[in-house]
Amino acid sequence: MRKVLSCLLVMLLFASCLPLAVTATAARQTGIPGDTDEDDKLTEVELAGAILLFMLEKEGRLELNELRDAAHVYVYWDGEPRTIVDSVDRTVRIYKPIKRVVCTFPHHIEALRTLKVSKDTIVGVPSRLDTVFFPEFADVTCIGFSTGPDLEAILEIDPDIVLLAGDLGSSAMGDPDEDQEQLEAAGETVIRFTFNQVETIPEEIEKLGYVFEKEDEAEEFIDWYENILNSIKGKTSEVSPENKPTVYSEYLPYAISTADDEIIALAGGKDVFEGKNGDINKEEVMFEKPDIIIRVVWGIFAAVGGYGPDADDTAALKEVRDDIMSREELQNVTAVKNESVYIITSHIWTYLPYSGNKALIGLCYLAKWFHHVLFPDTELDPKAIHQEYLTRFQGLDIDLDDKGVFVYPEKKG
Amino acid sequence: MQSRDKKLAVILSAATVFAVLVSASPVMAEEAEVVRCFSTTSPSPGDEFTVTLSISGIQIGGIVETIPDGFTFPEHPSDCQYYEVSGQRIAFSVIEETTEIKYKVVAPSSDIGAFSGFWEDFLNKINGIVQDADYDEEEEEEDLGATPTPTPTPSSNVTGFSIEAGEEASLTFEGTDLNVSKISIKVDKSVSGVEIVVQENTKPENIPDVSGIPYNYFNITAVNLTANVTAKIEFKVNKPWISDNDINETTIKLNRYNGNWTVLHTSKLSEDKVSSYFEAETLGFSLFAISGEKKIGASPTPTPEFEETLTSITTPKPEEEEPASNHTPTEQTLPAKTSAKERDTGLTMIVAATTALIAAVVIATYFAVFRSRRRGGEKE
Repeated sequence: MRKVLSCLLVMLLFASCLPLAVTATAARQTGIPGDTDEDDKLTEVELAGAILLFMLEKEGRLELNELRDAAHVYVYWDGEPRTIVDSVDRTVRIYKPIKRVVCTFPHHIEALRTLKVSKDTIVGVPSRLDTVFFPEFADVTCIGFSTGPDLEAILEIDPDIVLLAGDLGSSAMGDPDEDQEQLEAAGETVIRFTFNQVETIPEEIEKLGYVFEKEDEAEEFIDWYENILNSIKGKTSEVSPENKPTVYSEYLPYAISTADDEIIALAGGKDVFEGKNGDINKEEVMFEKPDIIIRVVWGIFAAVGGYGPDADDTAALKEVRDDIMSREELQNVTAVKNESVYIITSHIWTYLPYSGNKALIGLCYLAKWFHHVLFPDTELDPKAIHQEYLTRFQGLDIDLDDKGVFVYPEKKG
Repeated sequence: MQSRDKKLAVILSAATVFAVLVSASPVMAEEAEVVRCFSTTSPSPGDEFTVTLSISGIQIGGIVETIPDGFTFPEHPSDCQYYEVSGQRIAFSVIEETTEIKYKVVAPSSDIGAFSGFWEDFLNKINGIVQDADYDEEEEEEDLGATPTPTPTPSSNVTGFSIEAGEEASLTFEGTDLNVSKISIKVDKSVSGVEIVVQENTKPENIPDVSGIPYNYFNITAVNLTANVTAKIEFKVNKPWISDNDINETTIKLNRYNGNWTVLHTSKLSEDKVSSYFEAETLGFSLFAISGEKKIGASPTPTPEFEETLTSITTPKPEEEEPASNHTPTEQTLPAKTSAKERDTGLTMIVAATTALIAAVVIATYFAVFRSRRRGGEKE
């Protein structure tokens, strides 16, 4: 009898979980409002029928905001959803204009700001936002840190879409695959972009612009961005292998990342540890005798440098450089002997979570450090490009002549 | 004796001057407009006539026209592709490039009434009421022959505005002949497409006289105001009337007819050489009367107890419900709307609570049986 009761208890407890899972899924709406046959095409007849139901206040009518969305989709989207493929090759359909978006990385907020998406549209932001770079989001609901967003908090906000990071590989930057699965199980629409790689940012911006109906803004930014990128690539692609400086890039003493490979190659350098990750022996660096050493200063919980310090407050970065320059094992390395050791902050690099969408600016500095003859100040001014980005595309009132530390030294020593 | 043709005078809504200052009104695009005109303003009894709606500036929208009681729709009232009739209402869908809609109406044997209508522009997120086209008054008199055109009574309406829950909408009736100068409305839930019509008129015969000396009767009609309301009505009383009738100014009150006459809490705001200005509080709209009492010696008239007072906006008092006879077809109270997400969330909570309860009962039963058997074993 006891066994029978035990089995019954287990079965009932299991059965009690099923409605919760089902209703959690069923609670969200999908599809174009008014698309009664759910064929992802809102026809004139369907729209007209929905309007009549609404105007006569009949049972089953759409809400006013739903009907307004339906009208918008019918007129501006030809009655069909907008479809994109995100950065992890997922096909995502948007069924109505987006009015509420949750961003899990600062990069998402920055990209939306580039597209001039209204701040009111952003209803959830990650914690530990740079308050100098993002001064206007103090009153927006926080959904936890980027690497581990609070999914319950996101569901409570009830956004139209959630932006997650793309493929983070084996990094410790969280598990967006798992987050995506849980959010989608709860009926949320998820789009995955990261906006931190130099060459993929334009495509991601274009797609995000399409989703938010900011195609003109996306085009303006992409034109500006690609003009700069192509001017660099056009020159560095013609540099012969023997004229490419060898580069050693670390983010901690003798800790390297493949995330540096692309940007070094675009700038016309040769990463001596290309394709490698993790810790290396100092003897390997001694052996390679790189022409240039790059050190990315980065902190997952406290970014070094950035928009807060005064422009001439380079002490912290100088200290890092002095440490590298004084390493006994590197005294015979070409980069140290020629004082070609450069410090760059993660704000203008590709790292997460603080890099943002500004790796292009890091690329500009690398290009000048690697090939100062090819890129004189008159042709490539990273600081001026950075300033234009802040003013024109981010709408920030930051004067880089007064505030901001991102590189040391700024020019080739 | 030649029987006089009973000609019907269709009283068009006499909207003259619209409220200028509305604190919570939506921005109405200047271009969006729906204008109504009639093929005749004096049809013979049983005659069919055509109402034409001219539409401008609306790309995707809806229109609802309400015809007066006694008027009917023929079997196929319109050639419009998308329309639906519901009682005295006919609704149309406006889908791109629709600039004109016609519908037919059959005139009753007697009766006069006002056509009303409102529209929604779903693309531009605005709304408004259907305007009447200007008509030639001289031509109107000729049509009526010996039958004089009823003089329109002072009226004014405010159209197509929204009120957010907890916020106050102020409607100012400046530049009209009305004694009502302002209405401030608060609601407990957001409403949109609201129309307020204020019309002064004589007391209907079936309504008892208001106590005291009546100064003025007027009707306030609200369309689409499907929420609990607290409102303040500002009105004026001309000083010549006060002095001519020897009125004790402190006794001037606004009264509301809601099955019976109720004295509303009224306070004096100010005065000038021409008028005294008052404000009264009400929890609904219907027929109102401004009245006062004659001076009685040196003692002021005791203030009667107020039966209607403003409280916080929660559930309405039973006496605030209007009797069914006062309902017009356009004032149907809608059940509280819940969005699909709210309904599903509510369903989720109900299901979760039910299953949790079942699980708790089973667990309790299990342990009760398990324990009793164990005690039985131990005893053994």
